[in-house]
Amino acid sequence: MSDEWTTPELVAAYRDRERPAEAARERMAAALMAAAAERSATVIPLRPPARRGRTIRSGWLAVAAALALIGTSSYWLVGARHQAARGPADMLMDPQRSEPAQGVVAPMANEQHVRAASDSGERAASDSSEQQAASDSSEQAARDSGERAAGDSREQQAAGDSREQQAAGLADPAPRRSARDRRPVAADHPPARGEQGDPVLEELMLIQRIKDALDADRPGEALAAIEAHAREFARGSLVEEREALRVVGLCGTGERERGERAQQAFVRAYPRSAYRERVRAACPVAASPEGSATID
Amino acid sequence: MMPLAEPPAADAPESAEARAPALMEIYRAHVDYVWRIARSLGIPADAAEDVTQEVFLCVHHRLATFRPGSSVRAWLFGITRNLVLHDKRSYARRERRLAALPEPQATPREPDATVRVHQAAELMQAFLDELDLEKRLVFQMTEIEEMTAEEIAEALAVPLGTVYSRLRAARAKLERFRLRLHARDQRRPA
Repeated sequence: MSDEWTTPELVAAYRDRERPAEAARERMAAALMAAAAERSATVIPLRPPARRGRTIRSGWLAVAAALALIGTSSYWLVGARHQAARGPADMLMDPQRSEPAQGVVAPMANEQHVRAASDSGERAASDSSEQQAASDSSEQAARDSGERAAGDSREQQAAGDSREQQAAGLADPAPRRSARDRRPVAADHPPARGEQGDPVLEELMLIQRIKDALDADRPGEALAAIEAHAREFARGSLVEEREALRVVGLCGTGERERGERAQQAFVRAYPRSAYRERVRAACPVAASPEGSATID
Repeated sequence: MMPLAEPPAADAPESAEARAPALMEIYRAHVDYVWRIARSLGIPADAAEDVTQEVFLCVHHRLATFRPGSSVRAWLFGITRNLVLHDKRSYARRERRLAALPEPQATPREPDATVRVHQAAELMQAFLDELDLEKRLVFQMTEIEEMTAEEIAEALAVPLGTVYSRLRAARAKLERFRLRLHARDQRRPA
């Protein structure tokens, strides 16, 4: 049988066998996409404050990881118009409590998250088609999928927070979560809007534009992008980031009054935000909770 | 602006949109190649996924340093080799694996069509393992990866003539390998 081996036959057989299995290919692809998303978020972070900039970093990394997971899971969420008001902003780890390595995507470990994410994503998609943006029901959905993905059930306070924040005039404040165990749950938050393309990515790109503009010292452009985000993603997943960037943008460019108002509104709406130190540092005047709630 | 993690600030302005597709395109097109190169450099099958992934993460970070117009495969080879060489243990693994290599032999008992493919793959593997690394890489890049001699020369950083001479030597060895197989089959009729 093996008497006549031609080189092409040997080569074809070898090529066919000696390659990663389909599952391995997918795992690697998922890890790469996660890394790509992480990179895209890490290359344009908030401008560093005069001080205390470091506390923000793990927060941005966590956002990146969360976005990556969401992006991956959204493949399984085609068509789902999930209005859950929770997003990667919630996944931010409190930099005060986080370890330095947190939020960095570890490719092989990430794979499990991605799997869990897609799993819970499917469930969330089927669960959530009729859900409205009311924070109660979104809380329910998030809890539902959150439990499946990571067994995280520390979210009871969120609904109350949400209402309070909405009353404070900020678009779609994201419910607070405990600082730990966020990453695995990150991916079960589907995109808030899904008209075309991947809304989460679109939103990310817009946030990036803001950061780009801030980094390039183009405050006008940054504020325009912030307004665009506020219009297009009024209830998006990155509202918290947007509002943090708004404070940084306004305060950084001399619009002190508006900056301080935005800062106060931010601190009130996101009292435990990972960005709070950063936001406070942006406008050195202490932010007191009884300022105006207007975000302009 | 301080970058967050290790990514250099220099190539910051690229957007994820510009980056990710390029990265994923490279990945889809060359993942098998990187995998096989890693295997040839001594990475066992069970570790090849890690190494391959590592390579592409590296690609991701270094995408900006790729010189347009040069060979992607040559570039990928450089990254893979550096990663593998960096890991001394993989060298030890390679030595052990080569030392433990059995004689090339056909494996019996399977449906005919698959057994033949299976055997062919085994034989190719056995032949490649017989070659020294230099010839193996040239042979593999030529025959299996279908790279041009220029690409191979670029990847291995050797003159074109060296590529051809190694290829000639490897092909001669393949002939001898075939003869040996043939002789064995004659001795041991199925």
